[in-house]
Amino acid sequence: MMKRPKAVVIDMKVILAAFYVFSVLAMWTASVTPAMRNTGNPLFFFKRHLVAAAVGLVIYFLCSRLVLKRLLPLTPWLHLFSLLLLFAVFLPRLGVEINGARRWIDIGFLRFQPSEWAKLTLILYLTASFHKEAGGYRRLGDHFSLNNYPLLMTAVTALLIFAGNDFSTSIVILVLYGIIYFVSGRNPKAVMFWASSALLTGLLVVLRGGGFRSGRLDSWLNYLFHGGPPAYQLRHSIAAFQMGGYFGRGFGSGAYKSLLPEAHTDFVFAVIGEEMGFVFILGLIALYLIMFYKLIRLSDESKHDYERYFLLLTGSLFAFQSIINMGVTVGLFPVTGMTLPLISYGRTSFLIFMALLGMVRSIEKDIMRRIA
Amino acid sequence: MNPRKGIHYGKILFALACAGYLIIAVRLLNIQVFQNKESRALTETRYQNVVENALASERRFQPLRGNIYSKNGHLLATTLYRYRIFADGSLIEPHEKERTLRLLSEVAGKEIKRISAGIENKSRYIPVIRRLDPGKAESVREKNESRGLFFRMDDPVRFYPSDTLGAHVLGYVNYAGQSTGVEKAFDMVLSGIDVTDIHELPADGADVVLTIDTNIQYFLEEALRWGYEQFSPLSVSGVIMDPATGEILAMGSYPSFDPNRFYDYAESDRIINRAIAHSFEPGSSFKLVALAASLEEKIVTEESVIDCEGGEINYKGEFIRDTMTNKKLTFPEVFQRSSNVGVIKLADRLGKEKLYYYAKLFGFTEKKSLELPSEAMCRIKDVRQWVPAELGTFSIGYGMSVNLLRLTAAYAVPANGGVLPELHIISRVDYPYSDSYHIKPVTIRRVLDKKTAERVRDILRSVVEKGLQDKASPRGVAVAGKTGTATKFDSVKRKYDRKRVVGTFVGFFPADRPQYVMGIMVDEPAGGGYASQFVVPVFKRAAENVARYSGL
Repeated sequence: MMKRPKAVVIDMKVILAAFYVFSVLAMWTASVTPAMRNTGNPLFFFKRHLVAAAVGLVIYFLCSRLVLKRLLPLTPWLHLFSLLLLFAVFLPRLGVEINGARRWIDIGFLRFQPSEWAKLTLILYLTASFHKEAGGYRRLGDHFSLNNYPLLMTAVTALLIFAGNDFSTSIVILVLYGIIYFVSGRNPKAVMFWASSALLTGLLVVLRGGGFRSGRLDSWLNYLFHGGPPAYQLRHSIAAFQMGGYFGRGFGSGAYKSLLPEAHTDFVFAVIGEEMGFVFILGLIALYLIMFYKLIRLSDESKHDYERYFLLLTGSLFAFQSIINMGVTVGLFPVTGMTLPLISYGRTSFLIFMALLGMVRSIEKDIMRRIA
Repeated sequence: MNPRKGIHYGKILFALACAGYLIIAVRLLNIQVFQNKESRALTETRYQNVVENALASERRFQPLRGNIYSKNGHLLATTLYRYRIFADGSLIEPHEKERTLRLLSEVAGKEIKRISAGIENKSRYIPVIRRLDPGKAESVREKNESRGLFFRMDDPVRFYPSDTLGAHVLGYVNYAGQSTGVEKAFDMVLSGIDVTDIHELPADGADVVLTIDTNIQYFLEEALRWGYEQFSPLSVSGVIMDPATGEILAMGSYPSFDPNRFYDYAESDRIINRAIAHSFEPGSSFKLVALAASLEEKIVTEESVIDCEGGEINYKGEFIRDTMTNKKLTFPEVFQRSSNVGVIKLADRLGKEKLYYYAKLFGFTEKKSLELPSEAMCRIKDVRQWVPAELGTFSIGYGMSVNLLRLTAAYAVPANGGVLPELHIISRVDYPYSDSYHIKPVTIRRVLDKKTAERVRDILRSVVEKGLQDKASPRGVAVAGKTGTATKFDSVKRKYDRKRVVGTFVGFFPADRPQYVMGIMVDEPAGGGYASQFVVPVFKRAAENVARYSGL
């Protein structure tokens, strides 16, 4: 009897296991100083991350049993719910402000980031609506009519997130729309046009808009193109990488990590770079690429549009968010609050990615069944 | 795969992602691998203190004050972080108040009443103790049970690891940021740029590398201290410099102070750097000017004989005598026996314009010799205001005042072949983000012809050899130099007081190829006497160690 293939490329479990090992070890070394600084308990963040990792496994397991097709009709309501949550951030008792950004909701036992949750529901919602309307909106005019609910929803989501002072996530939301529009094969030229013009307008708004964002961007542009001094976090991040060299200073022996204000979240990549070195970093990048490649291969195998859309959106989010995070740590992007998927501390983000990958697994199982 | 148009959207996205990762990998290759070596070289010296300093702090928006290093690489001044304790009155429960107050008073060593009212009013921010040692702060943290006490290790304190060594050069920074010495002179580069907007970046201060060699500085200070104990004067000061480059290798004064405990010396004059901030009548050591001028102007040769008239002269109404009876002396003998009469006769032949011109050439009229603050200016009257007799008194070092550094620098001229070097105390400034700035030796002007300089050197050598019977020379090393003993002018009695003297000796060694110029000044030794008795031994003590250290 021929052995039935269980997965495309590499088994999801293997990739996830690798991510888990890296994530836990990275947290073990990177979160001590920030935890000491914030709470006085060196293992505070590490323990919480372990809990999130365990819960993530449960969520992954549950999501891998979901039938995506049955979920699709519910997605508008799910996304409306996340819009409500995004709005709730501004309510005085629920919303929490950290470092000038309103991104968290605190309901006693749990504090979470609705914008992460919105990424998940938006992906589902966009998948569902583009699947339903396959073949519609041939002309650009149609596209911007008020009847085009997906774009409207996306825009509202982005606006709400932007109002919570999270510029980068709102851009990611808009890019998700651009990607699905592109992937669904409608008028790719238009996508290019709108994407580039949106990018330019965004840049202009930020550059001319003043405030801390323009300050950050100015200092970053000055660093990248005029050789000026890098920003505070970036200075230490780059110094950390420089200390790393080929093989790093050894696990746990990094020194610059203590200087990074967000060593366990946004700058965990720099900590890994200092302690494990360039070669290991290449391995980590390869891991992200393998994951993305797996999703793309799955989408090739898939016969349903909705599966394709979902896989490509999830993969893009996974890949591009990691690229942005790495880019920030090496000074190629201005400093933003993006986590490194499946590695950084940031429990909402971690769980959302586990849920997305769980659903990917459910699609994979479906595809395997069909192949066999 | 898109069945409709045959476009592989997935592959396009994958290619985009690959491009993104590739760019990051190339960038990382650049940072981690190609910039790696460079950063290693930079880090081993800078890494230690910069990283450790920053580790110890939660410094975000304060620039880090630069360190001060000696020329031979010793850390002389750095910034450490101590604990700051503050309280939040609204978080301290009423029953905890007494206990907390007791605990804090215990560690502060005094009753803390001020915060009691703050706790009553539930004030949110009450500063309690600043600059607390980590050990004490940890013990308070352990004993503390209240939620309302906060400990932050972010209170910067300037720390001088070698205590009193080089204290007068370094100066200190007080808690209000006011400073003296190098700390003041280079405050602009050391302090960096502060920012108020949290999104801007503070620029850290640069490190300053001095020309001071800590070993030579130690030898000098040890000799000064010995001299102070031996002759119990008001103070003993000294300068050692490199005649070729004008670098100050050591400078100090005793009694000295500990810049780590600057607050103990608020009312004390120990913090005065007497090597530059004290001006005095030099007396015979100023005869260098007349000596050099006479040779350069060719009014005498070494064979000329000067009639010293038995050691007494009435020069244009001023009665001046020698310390010993001198009859007919050759030109070098005039200086070996330090004959005032002989020098005045030479000065008379030079004329006042020439003599003043040479004093000016030697740098005695410069307003500032060094970057350091609070230098006492040399007071030399303009030649047009001289009364006739002043030509005589000026030539033997009276009726004017100089500081020790200026006097020492003048002796660098014969030592280095006739040029006046620009003096400096720093050799390099290391900026955190740009190239280091090296200070290069600069010659101010040529004062003497090279031949003349050599002749002056030989005469000064003979002064030590014959006049002092080589009492100034360490074993095997020839010293050239000139003593000076000046009686002090009592401004109350309006006359010179023979009991109160200030003695100087400025010399350089080795005499044939001078590497060090050293000036020593002893102010009012208890027993009086001559410089050869109470200054030369100090010089010799320091010179012995320096000579051994540099392998002469």
